[in-house]
Amino acid sequence: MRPLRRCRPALAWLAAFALPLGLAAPVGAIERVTLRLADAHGADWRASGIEVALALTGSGAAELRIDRLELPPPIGRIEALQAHCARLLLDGPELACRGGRLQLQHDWLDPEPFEGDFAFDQASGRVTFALRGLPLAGGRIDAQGHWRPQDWAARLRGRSLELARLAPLRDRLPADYALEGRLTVRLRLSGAQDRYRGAFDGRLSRLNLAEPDGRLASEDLALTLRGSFSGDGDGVVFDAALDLPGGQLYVEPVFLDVGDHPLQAHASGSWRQGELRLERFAVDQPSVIAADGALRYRPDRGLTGLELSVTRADLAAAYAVYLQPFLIGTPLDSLRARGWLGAELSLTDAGLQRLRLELAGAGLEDDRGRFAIEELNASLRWQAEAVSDHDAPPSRLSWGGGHLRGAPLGPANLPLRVYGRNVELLAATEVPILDGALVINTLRLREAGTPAMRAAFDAELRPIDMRRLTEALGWPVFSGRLAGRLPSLAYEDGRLTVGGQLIVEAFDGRILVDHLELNDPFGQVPRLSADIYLRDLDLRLLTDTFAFGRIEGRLSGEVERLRLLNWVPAAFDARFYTPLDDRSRHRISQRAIQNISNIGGGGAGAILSRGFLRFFEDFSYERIGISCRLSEEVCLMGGLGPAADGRGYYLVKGSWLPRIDVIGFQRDVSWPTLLEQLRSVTAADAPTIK
Amino acid sequence: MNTLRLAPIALASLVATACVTINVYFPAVAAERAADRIINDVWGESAKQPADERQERAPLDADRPTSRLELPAAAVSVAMRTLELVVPAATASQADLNISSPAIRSLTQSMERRHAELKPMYDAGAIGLTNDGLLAVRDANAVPLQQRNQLRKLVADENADRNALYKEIAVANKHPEWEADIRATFAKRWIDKAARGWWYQDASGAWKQK
Repeated sequence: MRPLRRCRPALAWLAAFALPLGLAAPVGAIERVTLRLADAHGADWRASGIEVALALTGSGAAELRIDRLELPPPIGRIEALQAHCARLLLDGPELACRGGRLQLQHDWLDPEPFEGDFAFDQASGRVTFALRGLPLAGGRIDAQGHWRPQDWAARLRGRSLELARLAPLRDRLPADYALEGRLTVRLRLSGAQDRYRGAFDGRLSRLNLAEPDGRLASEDLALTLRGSFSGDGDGVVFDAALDLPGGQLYVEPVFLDVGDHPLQAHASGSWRQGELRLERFAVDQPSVIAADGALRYRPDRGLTGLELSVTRADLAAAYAVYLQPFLIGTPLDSLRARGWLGAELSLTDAGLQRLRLELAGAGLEDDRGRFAIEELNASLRWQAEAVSDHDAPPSRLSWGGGHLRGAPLGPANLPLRVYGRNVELLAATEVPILDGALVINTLRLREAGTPAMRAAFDAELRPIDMRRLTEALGWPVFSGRLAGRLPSLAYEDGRLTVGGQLIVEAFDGRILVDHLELNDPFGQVPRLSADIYLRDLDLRLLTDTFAFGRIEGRLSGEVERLRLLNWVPAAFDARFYTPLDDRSRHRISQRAIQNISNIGGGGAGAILSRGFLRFFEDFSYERIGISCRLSEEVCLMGGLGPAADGRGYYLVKGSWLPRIDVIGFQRDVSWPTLLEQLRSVTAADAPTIK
Repeated sequence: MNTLRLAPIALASLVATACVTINVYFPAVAAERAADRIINDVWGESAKQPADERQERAPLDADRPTSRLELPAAAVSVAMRTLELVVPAATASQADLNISSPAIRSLTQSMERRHAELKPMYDAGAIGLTNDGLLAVRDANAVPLQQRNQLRKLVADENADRNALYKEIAVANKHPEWEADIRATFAKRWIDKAARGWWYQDASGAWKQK
């Protein structure tokens, strides 16, 4: 047998070849002609074990068997092909098979029979086919179309195809992926030479995907994808619309419950020369976000260009879905947000170039109560480069109110300029805090976020009522006013260092806070360190405030190396004493003496209330002094110096008659116990003296 | 508090310069005991081990590397006798680490509260104990989709607390440089005390099940 050299669809060719042979036999004498070929091949196909059988009587049935057929990719090898034509027709140059049944083994197909009709026009070389119920991936496909040397067209309709069994996907799916879902699809394709075009409308239902590391997963996701495409040897142009009407999708870290918020997306673009270009894309998730833009992406270089415009985002929903997952582990990961956000950004392969952020009527509230901000409005315009400071467009940030750790903030409006790594406040701004304010005169950051960051900061605190402030912060309440000048501020590695001194004018004296440093203010264990100096406080006002028992006189002191962990004192070295030059009246009440002696571990109560001293309401004193060095929850106590007998230390040195000295003996006092004592002392009513 | 009072006396009698050097190394046994107490608090029923004595704090002074005490030669014998008063108690039974600072207490409480939510995640194998004393997501697929970010947040919060805890214990005991040793001690004890079925990382980082 001469090798066959012509290359055409094998089935049609063989049928055409076999038929004239059969007809050449004498009519009536032969009912059936069978032709066997061991091997036939063309340039890119090969068939072996070919058997063609023709019934020459009746309706003209024909049968074709091919043991093994190798076709060019992507079809590849077909085995055990059996084709049966109920009627084989020859009408002029056209050869047709009607009522065909086929069965074959191919990697893509399930081994079940299906039906089909074929026709081959010898004159034009046109092949037409219609396949019904092609068994693919647990579902069925109907396909019809034609092929001619100059063009081809096909229509496919697939029903209930199991995604995981679809050959191209199945072969690429790693063994530890779980994939379930059924695809129903209509596909229209046509082409001529190397150009092709098509349209598709696919629906995936109950898509369940689980990647082994859990970063990509879906549950009962429904998805429809509609669109059209056209292409040639260079690339493809497409337009597609995606609709996610229900189910759940997790693409770490974003979790979308599209049952709650259905998502629609649209994109038109091209894939050419290794680059994906979306000329326009849009995402719409009603009541969450609406965004559109354009992008360019290369698998080898990542995102090379992006213009994104978030036209509307509802912060309440968009924060939970799109922002919070990226903020986990930062202080901003447990907020309640509301309001509206709009944004525009532009990114090139040199990085982010422009960002415009608009916030309207926004509110942010920390779930752990650390801060809140209300009526937040912002119009931030950032750009990567600016020729000069004045070149950059101005930005604005304002809010109507809020609180920081419970301390109320009033409305403020900050005119800003932000570009590159620079932030600059354009005008002095007042941020009201209770009845006072933080007035920021200068705020300028250069190289922000880099080790080379430079900051210029100058601010002052307009007097704030300490009573309201301490109440708001949940601290022991005391009256007075807080003011000060903050000539510098540095922030590095989560550590905020305040230059300058804070001055609290309280109790007719002054309290100075120096070397204030705040570490990790929003972390697990915020640490504050400072040195505090008390100067000439009026003890009468102080003891009235704390209901300690009246003392008259002045008090100075130092709390050095104060360290608060989690806003609780962990260590300090404190001394409080009557200033040496104090010439004011020095009187101390019975109750104060009792309280002081309780702290000192004594217990003057009995003497005072029973002895003749009980007739005196108060006593004159020379000096008062107490010190406590706190470390490891133990307060190492001391007073004015060793007492006369050398065993204790003076807490109160009396003067005149009746002279009363309070001497402390206990050196180590448990800090929690001491606090407890102080609390009960300041809370209790004056003791009754009988 | 006896040694607290004795320490200054000892110091006072050992002024100036000479040749006795006392170096104090990381108290491994005490750290293990401290870790066990905290783990028992945090895990409660999940960490069933023989009950520890509930001694919350004990002097550490003699154990503390006031790293060098240098004595004048002439004072050595006096010094040694004084030292014997101070040191033996501490070296004979290694002092406990202080784990009762307010910061440590609040971290432990926060971890204890979180454990109620974490326990089902340990049981399901969704999370495991890492070999550096933290938690990691091991199998996110064990958790429904809508809980995966909650899981990530729980792990992030727990790790922030654990990192802070290791640092705070070192700081509370006046040895910030012990942080790495404390972390290593905890890493070992979390894993040792983990319940059956929980996952942990071995030294090479591979997941294993108890």
